[in-house]
Amino acid sequence: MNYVIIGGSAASTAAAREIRQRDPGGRIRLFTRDPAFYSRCQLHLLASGHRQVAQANFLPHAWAERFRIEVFHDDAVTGIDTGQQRVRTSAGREAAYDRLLIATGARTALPPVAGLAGSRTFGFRDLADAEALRAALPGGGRLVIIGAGLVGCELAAELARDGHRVSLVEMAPHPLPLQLEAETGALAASLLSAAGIDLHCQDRVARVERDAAGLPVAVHLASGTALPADLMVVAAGVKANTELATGVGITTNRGILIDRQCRTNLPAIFAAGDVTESEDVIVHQIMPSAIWPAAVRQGQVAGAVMAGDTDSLARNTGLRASVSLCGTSVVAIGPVNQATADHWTKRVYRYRNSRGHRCVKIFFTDGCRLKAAILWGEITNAGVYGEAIINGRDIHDEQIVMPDLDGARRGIAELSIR
Amino acid sequence: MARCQSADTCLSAFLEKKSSVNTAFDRMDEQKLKCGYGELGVCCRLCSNGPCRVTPDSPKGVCGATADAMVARGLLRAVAAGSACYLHVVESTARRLKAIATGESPVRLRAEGALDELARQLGVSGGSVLEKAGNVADAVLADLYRPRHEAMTLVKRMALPKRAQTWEKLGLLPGGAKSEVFDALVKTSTNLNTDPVDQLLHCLRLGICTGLYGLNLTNLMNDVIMGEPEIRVARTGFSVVDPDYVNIGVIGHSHSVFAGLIQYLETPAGQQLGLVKGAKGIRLIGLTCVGQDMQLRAAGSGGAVFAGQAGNNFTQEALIATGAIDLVITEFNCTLSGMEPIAASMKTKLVCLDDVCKQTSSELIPDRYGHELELGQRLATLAADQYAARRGGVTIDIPVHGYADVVTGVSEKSLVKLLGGSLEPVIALVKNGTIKGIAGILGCSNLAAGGHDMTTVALTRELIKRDILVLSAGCTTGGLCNTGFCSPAAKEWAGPGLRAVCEQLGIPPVLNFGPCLAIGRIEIVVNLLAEAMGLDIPQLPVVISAPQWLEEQALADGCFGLALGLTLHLAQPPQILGSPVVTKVLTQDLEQLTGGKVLVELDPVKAANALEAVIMAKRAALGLEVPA
Amino acid sequence: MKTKIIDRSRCVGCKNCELACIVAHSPGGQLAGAYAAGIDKAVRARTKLEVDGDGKRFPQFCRHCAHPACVDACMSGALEKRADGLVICDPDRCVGCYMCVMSCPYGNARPSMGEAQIMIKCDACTDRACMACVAACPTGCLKVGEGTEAVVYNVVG
Repeated sequence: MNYVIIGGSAASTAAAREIRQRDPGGRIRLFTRDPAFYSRCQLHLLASGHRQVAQANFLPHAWAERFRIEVFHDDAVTGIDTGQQRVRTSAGREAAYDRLLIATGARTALPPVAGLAGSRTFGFRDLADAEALRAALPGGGRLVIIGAGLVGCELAAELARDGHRVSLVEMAPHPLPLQLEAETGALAASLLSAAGIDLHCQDRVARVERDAAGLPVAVHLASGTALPADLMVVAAGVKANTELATGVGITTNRGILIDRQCRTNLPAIFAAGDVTESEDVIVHQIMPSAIWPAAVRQGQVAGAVMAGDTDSLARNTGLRASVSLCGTSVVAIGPVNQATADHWTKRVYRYRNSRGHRCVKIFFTDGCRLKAAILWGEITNAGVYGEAIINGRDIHDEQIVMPDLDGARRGIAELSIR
Repeated sequence: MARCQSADTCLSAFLEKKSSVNTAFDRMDEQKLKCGYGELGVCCRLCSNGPCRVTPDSPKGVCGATADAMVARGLLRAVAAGSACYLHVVESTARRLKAIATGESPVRLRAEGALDELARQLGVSGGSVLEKAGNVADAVLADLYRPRHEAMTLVKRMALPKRAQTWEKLGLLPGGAKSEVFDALVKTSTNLNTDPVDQLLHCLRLGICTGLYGLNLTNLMNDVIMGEPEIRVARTGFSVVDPDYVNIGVIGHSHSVFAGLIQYLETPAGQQLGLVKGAKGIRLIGLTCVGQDMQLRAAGSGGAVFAGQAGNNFTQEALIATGAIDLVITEFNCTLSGMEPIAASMKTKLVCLDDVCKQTSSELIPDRYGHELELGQRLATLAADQYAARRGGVTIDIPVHGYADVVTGVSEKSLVKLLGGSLEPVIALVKNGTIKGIAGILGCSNLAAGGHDMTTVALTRELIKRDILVLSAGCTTGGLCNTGFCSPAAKEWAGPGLRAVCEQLGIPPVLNFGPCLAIGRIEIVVNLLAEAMGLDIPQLPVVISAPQWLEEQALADGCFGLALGLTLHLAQPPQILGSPVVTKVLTQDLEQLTGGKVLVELDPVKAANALEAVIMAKRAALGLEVPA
Repeated sequence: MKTKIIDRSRCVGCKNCELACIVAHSPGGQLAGAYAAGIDKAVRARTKLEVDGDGKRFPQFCRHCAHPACVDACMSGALEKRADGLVICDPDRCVGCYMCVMSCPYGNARPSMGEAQIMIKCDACTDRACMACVAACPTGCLKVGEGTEAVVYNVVG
């Protein structure tokens, strides 16, 4: 059996490993446009220079040899021949497949803002983005980051820590709009501001002013504020790399649509990771699931099914995030912002722990089900709540029944706070 | 399962032979798993919100108490309890003296000369002997019962003037001793004092109460009542027990509690009680510190009826297991609970004279002032009756154990007498480097630091090898006697300088001062040395060690040593290591205040090196020759 | 293989397993030094004695799962399910993203709270003669036996 995998990150490598565990004799070829394996979650550390590319390799030592994967770096698949079941690559290779996995990820989406495209504007998705930014940073000057989601916030915090002058622009009323609600959002805003980041929420970039040489001068916001700018990083949304798929008739929406077995609408072709859209277990909607653990899970399912085994995405969700904001750990699980408008009950538990940290726990419940949670400042046991949310475990008397513990129940004392 | 070993190999062999008897040596293994929170001192049980234990996940108690507060509170509580124990002993001794003075008690004073000296030191007068005795007792009791805001008056009469000045400067002059204990309990109760430094200063005040009153005044009043120590040679070990006698084991710390019994046994009528039961007579067998006191003062009282000191605290279960003890009388610690089943199996009767040490199976026969001789007669009768009732059905097995040539009876006065009237010969030997310095090896024995007496013996061996003269008091000396260190032949283990001194004076390299109360006598010797050399105590090439300290009393004693400005070695730390503040104050900062500090080292060789280094540093500071 | 057997019914809540874990992972590995730099600098236990919703003690230990969620969530490659069945964290690779903390359904991936922001978890005391927590357990709640899994909860009560 010939397996071809397109992509070199979380989903593709997870799939390769699963296939090998089930099909010892199969030929597994992995093509990636990336020059090396590196963790995309560490781009901010690569940009700041606190980590080198070699350190960002997320695979075990001698991974390809151990699992007998033929890896082709710097070699993007440029076309799929579904009739012949072959792929062609930028390096001129051709590879026949019995099973094909598309795990091509996503790239920065540049918003349609006048003057934004041009020199000294960086996306932030790939190693090349991080390396370009790193090369530009020593020149100093002002850095404007557009978008205060996970990527924008982590990059802003990382660079501000090193003394760079950073502005951060966010359309929503507070940073991390998908992960935090108003109260924790306000806490995030004050943390970022305290770290020296010039934060502009509920505002958006109207245009970028450039000089005669085409170099940026200032970022003008809709509010009228002008932010002096020498460098700009766009971290406000991504676009799935669906081009290969659409060309051969694979159904896509914002991403490649897959079922619970990671199958596309075409036989023998599977997809996983940031390039896809699938059903989210928590909200039961078809949506991208742009987090590492979800990509790994999709890759595992795809690999297992490609090798003839059974597995399912039934419990997968992208609605989880862990972020460290200037030393404060935060975990958000579930659709925390949809919840606020819903009929769910919101309970907030604010406290300062005896190590002196300010902590907030927010729980959203729907009857006897925990639906979403935000843990701010103290995240130990976050996974226990996540387990209850993802697996829809009932809560009785403010307690979660723990998995595999024959009736042991984990109390959520915070739920009793009225 | 492994039985704890003793440095006293005869004792270990005997325990091996008596494997059907359960003793502390067996239970040590069962209890080997320790609670780390307890060891660090970071478990607080003071309220219903607790017990609270400090971990990185829960760094404060519910009340907000930090590890520093918990540790300091725990230490102060322990020191207060230890101090209370010694104050109980000095109080009852003073009340006995008072009862004798008023004629209520038939006990006779055996050392009137000592009374004159004591009265002079305390600034107490009196026409007759009894009047003087009464005034001494009153002066002591008045201080003990003072409120906390009134400083005790005898402190400055007992302490070296330079020390008293230091204490006054640091606010360490104690108020009434019992009030100091009382307020320490208040301070350490729920949601009260949480200032570790304030609590540590309170510990030092309690140390002064303990040392000057609990130790010294008890000794000096007991010298008056029971007679003064005189240097002599005696036997120690289980071999002091002769199965042909009615044998009464004595456990406790208050020599004069036995005044009536000794006085009665010294009479033909007393011995007759044993003779009529077919025994050769009735004798007392020393166990724990009160036996050490009997041995110390045997020249002045009870020499004929005291068989000798069998061993220290943890030998009592084994001694009862010999089957040769008919009656055990307890009046204080160290009364091990574990002796009860052994006593039951050996049909040994347990009698307790003070409810502070009442055991489940002991009969409480309270010692009442004025009824000492009746009590003595009753105890002797009980012992003789028990002898008659049990001897037929019990196997007696006494190991050959101990040494016949132990030098005993060393005190601050008998030592000076031995040296020809002053400490000058010792000072000269120290100054010329023949003896590098002096180490007090004091306190208890435990089973924890390497085994029974293991660290005490190993450290003592290392110190005398380094020409450091060892003075010992407490269960340490009980162990050292039974391992040969207090016999003249021990000079062979000493370095060349110390050995020559031993040969010249006919003394062993370890001077046996007797009970733990005599820690006070060793500290008087240190006072006298400082006085004679015109120095303050912290300047002297003198160190102390409680290598195998066991209990709260030892901590209170230790606090006295620290208040005196001495370097105090402990093989195991008190339960303080959970607090960086308390640990640092005791092991470092205190040296800037009193001159004293705690030095913790389990390894005896490293400990000896460290203590030698302290002595050498003090010699160097005095411009004394520092031998290589 | 060596299996850690946990019998909840024997747990008395002494938390000595926690402290033994702290000591075993402290520089120097001695109780005496574990808190010496102050409680804020002491290492955190890899395990935690929790109380379950019924008020019963619940020793919360890493199970070294067959399909470990922490490993699936690890974006740095620090966490690995090894061939010997143990789930081990390489602290040099960990960048402290805490997605493992977010993902472990049992709460056994924990933030270090130390100077280095990394995750900490049970390492089964592989570099020690015996598991520190088992050696410190006075009640028999924690034992070592032979089995096919690294950890077994032998649940009673």
